[in-house]
Amino acid sequence: MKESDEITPDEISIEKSLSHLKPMDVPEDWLSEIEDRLARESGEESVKIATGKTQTVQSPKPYPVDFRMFIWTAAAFLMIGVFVGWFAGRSFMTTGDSVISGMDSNSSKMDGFASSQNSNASIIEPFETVVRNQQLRKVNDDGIVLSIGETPMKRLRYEFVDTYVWEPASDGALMRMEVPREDFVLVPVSTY
Amino acid sequence: MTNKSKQQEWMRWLHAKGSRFLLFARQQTRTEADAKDVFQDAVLKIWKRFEQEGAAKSEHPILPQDAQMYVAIRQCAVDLARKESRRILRETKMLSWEDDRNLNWFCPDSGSEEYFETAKSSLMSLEAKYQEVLTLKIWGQLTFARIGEVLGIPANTAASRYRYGLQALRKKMKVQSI
Repeated sequence: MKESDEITPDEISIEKSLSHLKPMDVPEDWLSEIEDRLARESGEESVKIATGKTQTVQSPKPYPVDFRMFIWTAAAFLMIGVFVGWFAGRSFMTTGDSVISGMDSNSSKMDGFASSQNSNASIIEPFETVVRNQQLRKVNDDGIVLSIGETPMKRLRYEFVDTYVWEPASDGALMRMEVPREDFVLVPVSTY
Repeated sequence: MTNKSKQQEWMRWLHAKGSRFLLFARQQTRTEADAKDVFQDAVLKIWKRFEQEGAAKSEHPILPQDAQMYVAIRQCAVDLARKESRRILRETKMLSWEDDRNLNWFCPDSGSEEYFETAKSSLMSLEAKYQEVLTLKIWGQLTFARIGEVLGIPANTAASRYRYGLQALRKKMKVQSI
């Protein structure tokens, strides 16, 4: 198909007049951003110097690394790794033994479960409570409560939200728990 | 050729043809900020590809063809639109895209003010499929075969969309000029 097939003269004139519209140039700051990014991609850094001009400098090449110097360090790390692995394996075996002994003993299954939980608890690090807060949200008046033979009481309903925040010692994670709670209080009312 | 001189060559190329690429990026995106991101990402994408290919082959062109750049812009715009649609679904926030989109497509001094406004608003109100073909043909100066490659459609479809686009544009411009 030819490119201008079936296009009427009217449409061609529109085409021509549209081609007079010049697209806006790319803003200079966009282009300088692109230039910086291209420089970064090709291992060069664009440095703005005091005169306001941008100068491109070659980033320094890394020093050649002599891997022989790492042999002793690697050996030391290997030894430490072996020792830690042995120690961890031993403690795991001990934990496993205690669970198995709990299950095998004459005590009930619950005892075995409890012992395994206890042994796990020794592994899990303790949580430190950082916030313990009790907040009164609302007091509701539930009205008068009448009971035969007793003085009338006014029932008040206190809505609390208890907030606890725990933090494990090692990492910065926080565990937050909010528990809604309601307390009822009966207050004797005097009659006239 | 050193990286620095290659980079200078690219910047010269962008100064010369950047406005056309940017126009296509603006046409493909919803906001000015998106157009900027898409334009920059497309340039970097092609640059990286050319660096890799240039390292592998000794006789590799320094500058990409225009159609390659348009393809990259379209891909980046599609990627961005996918991300954007997810974000918009999440935030369910309506933005005044159209207002932002109408900004700065053409130089205001490139025609009589009345004609400029009529042509611009008529072009903006066209369906995107016609708009993109018109943009690539008139300002991108690509052939229909190339436009077909960029948009992933047959050349004949590109040609017919161009024609329908011009017809629609003519009608809209007549209505607006009355």
